[in-house]
Amino acid sequence: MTRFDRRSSVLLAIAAVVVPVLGAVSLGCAASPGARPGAGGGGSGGAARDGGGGTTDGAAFDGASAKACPLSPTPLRTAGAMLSLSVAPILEGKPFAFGEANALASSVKVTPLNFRFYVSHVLLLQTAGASVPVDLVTATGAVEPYGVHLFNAEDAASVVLRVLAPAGTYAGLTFTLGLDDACNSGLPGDRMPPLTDTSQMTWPHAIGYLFLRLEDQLDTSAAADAGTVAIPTLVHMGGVPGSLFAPTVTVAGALPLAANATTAKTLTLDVGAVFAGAEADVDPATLAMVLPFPEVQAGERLRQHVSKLALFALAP
Amino acid sequence: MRGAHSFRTGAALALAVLALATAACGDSSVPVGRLLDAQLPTGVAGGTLADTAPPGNALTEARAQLGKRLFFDGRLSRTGLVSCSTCHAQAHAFSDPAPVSTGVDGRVGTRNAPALVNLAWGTSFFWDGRVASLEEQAGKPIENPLEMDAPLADVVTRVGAEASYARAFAGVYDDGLTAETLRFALASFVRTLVSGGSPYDRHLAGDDTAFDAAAARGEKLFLSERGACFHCHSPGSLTNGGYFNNGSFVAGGDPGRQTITGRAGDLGKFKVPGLRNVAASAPYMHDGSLATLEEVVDQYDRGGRGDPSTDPQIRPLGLTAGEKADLLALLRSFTDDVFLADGRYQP
Repeated sequence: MTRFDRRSSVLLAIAAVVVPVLGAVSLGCAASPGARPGAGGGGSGGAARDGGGGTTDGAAFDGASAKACPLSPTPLRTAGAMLSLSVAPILEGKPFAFGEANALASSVKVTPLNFRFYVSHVLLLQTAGASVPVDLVTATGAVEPYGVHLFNAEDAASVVLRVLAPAGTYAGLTFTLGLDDACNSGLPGDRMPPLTDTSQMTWPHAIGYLFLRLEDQLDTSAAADAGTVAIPTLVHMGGVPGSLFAPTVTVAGALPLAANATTAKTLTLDVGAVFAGAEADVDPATLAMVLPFPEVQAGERLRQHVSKLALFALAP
Repeated sequence: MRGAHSFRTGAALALAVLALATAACGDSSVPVGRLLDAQLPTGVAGGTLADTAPPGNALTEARAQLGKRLFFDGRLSRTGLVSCSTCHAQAHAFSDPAPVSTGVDGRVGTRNAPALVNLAWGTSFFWDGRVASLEEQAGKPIENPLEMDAPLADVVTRVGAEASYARAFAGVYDDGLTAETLRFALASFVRTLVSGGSPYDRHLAGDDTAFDAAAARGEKLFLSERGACFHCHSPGSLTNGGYFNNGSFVAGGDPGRQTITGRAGDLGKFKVPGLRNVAASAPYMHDGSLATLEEVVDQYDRGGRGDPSTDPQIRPLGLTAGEKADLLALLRSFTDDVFLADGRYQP
């Protein structure tokens, strides 16, 4: 038995216990707000890349149908307009500074300690309802490894998302907040960044990576009514290949992209919405089937509510 | 399966080399031979040890051997009495058994000397992560007034006065002996301090006999959301390379990572160490304040020392005595006895 086999057997043993249970829940909750549109039904994901960069019918990427997670995806295009999106976390409308005590109106102070998430499968939306799949690229235009971007609030270089697109005017974008099933499987030890252990986004088992992790400290000493504070200190959002998928985010806003030029925009991320999602009500049966730890349950609450929340917005 | 394949290939080569080496010296427990012929740790990114070196300091056997000579040379300190090995002793996983180390003129440092194990795969160094390469790291203790207290230029002069050093440097670096190449040679040696022969490595590689029942139970707890050790000590490398306030910080104490970033949220954060050979590298934590692994497990079980800066992931665990024993069995399975006595690392 090899290392891979050994680890896989341990992981699969865990997954064998967890996945069927979660799968059962998923089957029982077909209308669950967290289930990806068209999950398991052969959506546009494969067609998006296979189609050579053409438009799709506007459906979001279907992570469940992803067949592979190549380190170096074939570029959809090698030239075009660059869209640079600087992710700016905000809380109560003010910048949410990493590692600093961010004071809220209630006088509660929130200090983020770790804030990371994956972005993949970006599509630009056209006014006619179609969408254009685009590559996440580096500053030099190379496709990001695995076609995945890791936002890490501690790393200034990671807060900018770049995509290479055909010039034109778009009405917004969608993306997967996390990984598709193919990338959400496999062992970090066999991969390269951003899918290695150093991403700090790994679980120790075969039920995937974290899609988003947020850890923070609360100082309620100056708050008038600390008892009403509903801000989780730990949010670990993940999924399960085949049953619990990374959610899709849709952001509306005009995106005029000039040919052979870079258009810079700010993409705000409302951390208050993250907190709200992590505290939101869900079908208790679904929570009963994920690991009984507050960070995991907060993450599952968030995962189920992402599509209902205005997490991201294009700044004017 | 690329990683598994490369591991098997690497292991086979390493075993072949070990077999030759041990046959030559007649001692089956202490290999001799090339520093670069390391048995790589299981579960760490594939490739060869040489792949971990930066382009400007390609890893060669000659450079590593030269670095080893420097590592044990007291002339790197102002007094000529303190070498790297003074605070990084092999039997202690190249760490210091004292809570904090003593440098030149009896000067006492403020942090526990970290173990030098598998740093080839590191991305930042020192407890506060102040540097990003072994090459940069290597010069810091030499110049630190509490450690070796010697300007690098003076060390270059002292070392270069010995013809054999000058010849050796000229043979492996185009620039010969300089402050930079001195650091580079030291980094090359530290890069070869590779531990991949522990029962944990064998367990990951598929050896069903490597773990006893207690270690196996300990691994399950280690990997569980309840124990939550894995969040920082990722399976395989046993570190995620990040920084974390694990509850060891107390008010007024060493601010750790905050010293570098200035951020409030980094108060009390320290670099997450890898755990290979952790049983040999007592005492523990950034300040060496915990003398034994039992004390470490107890502190985590209590949820740290109670400072409000402690990361929210640190919480009372409610471990039973049996569970603590299981965790300890796992931690001891990280010990690589061959590494701790490997003759290749000795002067």
